[in-house]
Amino acid sequence: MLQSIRDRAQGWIAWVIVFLISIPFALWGISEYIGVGGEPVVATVGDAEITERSFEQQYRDFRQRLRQQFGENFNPEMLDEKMLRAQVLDGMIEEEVVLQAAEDNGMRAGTVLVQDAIRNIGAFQINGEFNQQAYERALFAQGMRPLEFEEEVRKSLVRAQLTGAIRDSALAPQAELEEMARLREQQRTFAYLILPPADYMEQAELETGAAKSYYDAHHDEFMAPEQVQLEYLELDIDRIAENLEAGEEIVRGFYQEHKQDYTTPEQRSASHILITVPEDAEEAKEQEILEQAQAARQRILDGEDFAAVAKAVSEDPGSADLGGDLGVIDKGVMVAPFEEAVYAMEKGAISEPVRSRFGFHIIRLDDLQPEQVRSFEEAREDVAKAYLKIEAERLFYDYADRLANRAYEDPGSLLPAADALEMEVQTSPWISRINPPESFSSQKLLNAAFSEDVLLERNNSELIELGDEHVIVVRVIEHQPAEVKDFAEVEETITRNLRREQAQEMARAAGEALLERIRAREITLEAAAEEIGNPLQRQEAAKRVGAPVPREVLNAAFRMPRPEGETVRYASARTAAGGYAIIGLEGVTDGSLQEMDDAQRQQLRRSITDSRGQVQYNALTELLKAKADIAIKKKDLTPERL
Amino acid sequence: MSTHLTEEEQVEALKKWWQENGKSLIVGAVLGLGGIFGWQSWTQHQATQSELASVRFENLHQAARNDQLDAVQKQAQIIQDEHKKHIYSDFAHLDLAKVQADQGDAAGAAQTLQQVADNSGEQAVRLLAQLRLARLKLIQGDAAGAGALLDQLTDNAYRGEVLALRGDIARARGDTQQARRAYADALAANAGNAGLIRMKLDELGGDPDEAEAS
Repeated sequence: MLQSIRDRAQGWIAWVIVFLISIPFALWGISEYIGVGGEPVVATVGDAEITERSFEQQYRDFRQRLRQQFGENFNPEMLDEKMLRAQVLDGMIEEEVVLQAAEDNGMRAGTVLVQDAIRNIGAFQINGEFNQQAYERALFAQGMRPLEFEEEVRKSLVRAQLTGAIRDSALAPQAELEEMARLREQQRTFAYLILPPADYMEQAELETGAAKSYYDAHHDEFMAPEQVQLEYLELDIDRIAENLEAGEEIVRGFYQEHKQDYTTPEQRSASHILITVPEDAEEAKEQEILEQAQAARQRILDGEDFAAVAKAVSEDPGSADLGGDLGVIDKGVMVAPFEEAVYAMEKGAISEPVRSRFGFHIIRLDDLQPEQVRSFEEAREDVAKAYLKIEAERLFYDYADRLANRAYEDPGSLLPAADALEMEVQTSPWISRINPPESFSSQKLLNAAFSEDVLLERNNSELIELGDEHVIVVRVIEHQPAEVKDFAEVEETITRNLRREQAQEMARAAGEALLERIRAREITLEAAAEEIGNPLQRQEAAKRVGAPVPREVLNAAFRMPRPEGETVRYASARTAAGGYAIIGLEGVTDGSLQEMDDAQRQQLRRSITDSRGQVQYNALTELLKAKADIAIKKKDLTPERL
Repeated sequence: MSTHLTEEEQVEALKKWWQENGKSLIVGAVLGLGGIFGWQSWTQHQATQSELASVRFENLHQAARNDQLDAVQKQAQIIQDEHKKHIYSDFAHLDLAKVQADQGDAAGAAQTLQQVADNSGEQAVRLLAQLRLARLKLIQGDAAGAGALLDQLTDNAYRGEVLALRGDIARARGDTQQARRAYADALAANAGNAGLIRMKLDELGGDPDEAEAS
């Protein structure tokens, strides 16, 4: 049996069968082999993978945005990196879930929508118009191919459609607008009485030793922050420039070297008429075109306006409508025969037809500004300035380079660097991270000064950039760890705080007793005010925002239930200053949608829709996520440290 | 079976085999290829239809944002007729309901949402339509109907929104205690328009837990 199969498998029938079998493999298998597998994956959502590479890219972008938001104050140590990474991954998973739900439901963005979206991206536009080259350049800079990018746009469009469909369609019915207007524009009339702690300060008595025992129990509140004292060498281009002098000879030499900077080169403006010659034109044809060109030239020589002839016959689409005007012809811009002709002409002259690879040009030299040179005497001040700037820069970079090298070669001292640069090592005052002196407040400098290398190893820092052409190298000479301040130093503060606390407590107790009597109708709010000798304040028709009343009192007045009938309701509040307020709510007047104009109503409706829509969209993504098959492969997202 | 056949015999065998099997082989090949091309052109057709629905929805959405009820209504009808059961048809009707409700036609909006709640192929969208429908029912004075719709929203779907609406329903029925409880829970569950819920809650006497504590 096997033998017979073997024998037959050699005939051409066998080859035909093998070929037929190979077709489906070729068609369906290839893509599997081409798709590069094996990239590390952070998470999977259904069949889609979130690779480590794309995750890291997103994370970098996210940090970049944070950096831009915080600007100068960006301090990487403030960030809880683990949390941020988890947050970024969560966002990517959500995007993928939403995308898959959209695609499973057959949502698509067609080529028209994709093209529209791309055309509207500002980065691809020049003067407000989409520009193919700008598009390709921008993609190239991102290391992306157009197909890849268009796929990304397609995805984000589909996601945006789903988001918008859910979010923008949230209901904000009229009844709710009315309710919102009624509550938000409500006005309340109330009286209030404040018992301030100051009234009780005199009576507040501390037990002996109270301050000390508070100090002993709360050391952490009295920490003096960690401080360092620095030695430093600072290089600043402004200082260098101050010490430079520009001698007559040197400046004169500098002027000679940079004469071209004080020279305005010759400028020639020209117009032309182009009669194009096709690339494959034979000699006879070319001759014919040359005659056309000569005819055009003759018309001008016979007195016709150059611009009019250009408009009529020129085949240069850019200039024909402008009467052939090309403006100033800078050297090296136009094709060589054209440029040579222009630079050989007299002002006003009309050239013979000039042959370039485009065809025949009839050129008129419109204007000629001869080269202008400012003499040394005229330009002296500018020359000196330019010289000082360049010289200061040269010195700065030279010094900075040497400073960096010497400070690095001798990490244990700044003296060798100071000697080499003939500078004095300077000493800073004590510096803490929390409240550093102005000239040492750069975040970069503080990060370096308190880094392991500089603070613990006592090495020179690297060159730290404080600004443009302004650098510093520091080393720590003294270090004061964070420590508890002496009791004597803080005793007064503690005593004052404890007494204030006691006074607040007394105000509260007195206030609560009063409130109880008021609620029991033993005493009116007015009588209570008289009893404690503080004025009763009244607020007519206060709105939720803006009434001239302590904020806590206003909030409390608006958080009280409506009074029923004529009965006044009472409540209490603690003011920010620690006082105890008793509030009597007398009346409530509801707001009304009728009093709003159309724009305000629109705005109200939009705010309800926006808030509700966002929450509903979030809830919808939660539902989609719950159904999706999500697996996070890498538990610890923190990258390994060096 | 002999192992050595002459060339002639081989050809003969092949001819015989072809006569026996040729027909079914050709039929099979035609069916197979036809299936492949048929499937391909069908998915291509689906994609084209989806893209068309996508563009139509995009236009409708723009009209909805500009409160153009007539245009939205017309285009929603077209999408419904030509892209049956497509999610773009659901989205079109969510937008339509929004514009109808904004222009005071609560009954029409309710009908539109009912359609999405009954027909959408995506569960999350069906539930969303139900949630929105419940709010319309309440506005039309049918608190019981609204409550019954919310009872169908299981698995904590749209929890904060459901609680906020339950608060409104309880308040409409005059059940202050239940309303306060629901509003407080809605705030804890991050419902939308928290400021509005807070004001309603305060007016009824505040969070029941906090009230007991103070």
